[in-house]
Amino acid sequence: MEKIDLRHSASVVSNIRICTDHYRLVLQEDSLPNVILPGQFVNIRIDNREDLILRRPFSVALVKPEKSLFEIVYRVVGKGTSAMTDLQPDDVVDLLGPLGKGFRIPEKATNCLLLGGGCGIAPLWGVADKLYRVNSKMTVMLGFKSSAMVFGEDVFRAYDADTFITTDDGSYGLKGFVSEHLEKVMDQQIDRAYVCGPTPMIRAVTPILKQANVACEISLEAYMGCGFGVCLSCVISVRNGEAIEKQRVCTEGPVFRLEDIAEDHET
Amino acid sequence: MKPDLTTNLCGIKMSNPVVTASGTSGYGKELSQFYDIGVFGAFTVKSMTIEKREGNPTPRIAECTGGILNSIGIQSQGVRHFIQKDLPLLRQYKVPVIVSIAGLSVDEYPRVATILDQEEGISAIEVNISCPNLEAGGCSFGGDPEISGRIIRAVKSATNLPVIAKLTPNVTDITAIAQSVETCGADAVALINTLGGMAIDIQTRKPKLANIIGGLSGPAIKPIGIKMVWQVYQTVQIPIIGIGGVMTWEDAIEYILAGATAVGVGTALFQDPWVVFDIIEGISEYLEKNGLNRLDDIRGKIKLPETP
Repeated sequence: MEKIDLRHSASVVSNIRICTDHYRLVLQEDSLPNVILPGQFVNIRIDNREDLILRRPFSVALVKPEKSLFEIVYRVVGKGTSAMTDLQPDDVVDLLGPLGKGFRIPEKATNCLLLGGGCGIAPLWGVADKLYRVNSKMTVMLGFKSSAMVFGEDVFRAYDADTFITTDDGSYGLKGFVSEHLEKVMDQQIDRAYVCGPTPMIRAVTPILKQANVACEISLEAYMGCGFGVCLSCVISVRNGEAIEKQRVCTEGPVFRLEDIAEDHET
Repeated sequence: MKPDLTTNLCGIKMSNPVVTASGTSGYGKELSQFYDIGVFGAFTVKSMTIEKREGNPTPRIAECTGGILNSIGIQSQGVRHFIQKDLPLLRQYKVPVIVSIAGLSVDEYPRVATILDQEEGISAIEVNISCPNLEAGGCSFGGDPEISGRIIRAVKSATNLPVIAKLTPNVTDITAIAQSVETCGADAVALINTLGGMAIDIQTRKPKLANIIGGLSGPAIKPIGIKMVWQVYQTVQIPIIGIGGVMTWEDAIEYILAGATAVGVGTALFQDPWVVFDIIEGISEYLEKNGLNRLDDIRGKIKLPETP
């Protein structure tokens, strides 16, 4: 059996703050951009920090194989992501990838809905890029807390997506949650939906998507240990025929079909 | 000439002293995608019970300074599933397989061992009497010398395979447990399992683990493992698998100096699944640089301060 080597050393091209607490990290590496798919992730080692044991998993955002570039967007939440803000151009990042299963992108043009919130917006950039290449029609809704947190809108617009922004406080775009405005755009003839965002957002939108009966894939977040399937830290309950079984977000996911997800992510 | 790393662990012939720590490498499927798992001296699989177990709710893992807390709770498909689905893959590799067994009752251990006993391709049975994440059993067995001994005796009666007792550090005197399992027939001891631990998110005021408490592993616990291996080495005659926070070859050497015959690697594999190659190579180079040929030349050979 052919052995897989997931180890990569990527060099930092840029590491720029794009809103209050999110950074966009652009990396250069020869092989990974050719193989990684939207929704798959990389597991980054925090260099020179013996106190930080685990790698940090991030879904890949835009990928440019012709330039050997790929990027991730991260939110500063703890010691690891704080340390990542110090990364400078030409620094080398030790990472494992591609990991997990990504979004399924149809080969023919479809009418798609993309729903994102927070960090979850970035993986949808990659989805938009693939959908654009097959001339799919895209409607995008992105949710943020307030105008200071807004990012990524321009990327979707560049792919000719109908893009709507919501903010909880109404300081930018539509006031309220994505779920409150979703039904307006759902009137259209949408046949596929891609969702990536915080758990409360996922919980709020899933009943609407289920009712609309569109094929829906959701990228889930989970606390991970290894990222490649051995530690069983990141499991969720998934339907497999009649049975409900534990599956690993890192290996069978992070992208799951909406109808397969059992457990509390559902509603 | 390259130093000889071959290791005999209670009759298990190993190419080197580095083994997987139970629960950190599943049943070999994932790591074997990356490399030939025959690189390990032996492969210890994740603990299994008789019946299928769901494991604990999530989050099951939380990072701490220099370590990780876990509360997986022995998610397992059960011993029969292991024999049907996982053991055939492990047999393809030329690696001795150590099967870790767990139980919710004293009686469950020999029952699991009996089912495994007739299967081909198993080199030893490791008896997990030290899991901190089982609702019953686990640590409560391993903390009691009498019950620990009783379980080992029962497993010995159920199988002809070598039996390794996996010990918990969550005890006042680990040597009493080690002595008891040796008396009851254990062929080796493996120590340490994780240390009981807990962490709280001060913003939400919730425990970081859904199970509230869990087990601490990683470099933070290495000094405790070293101490306990050294204490047990002076107490028992049976070989020791030293486990706890081995991240580098230097850590492995430290365990061998403290008296370990083999060394378990666990948490380090989460960070770098390929680290086993560096550890084995580092052990070899250390021996070579010190003009030594065999691991016996350093095993237990710490230089103690001279008593006046």
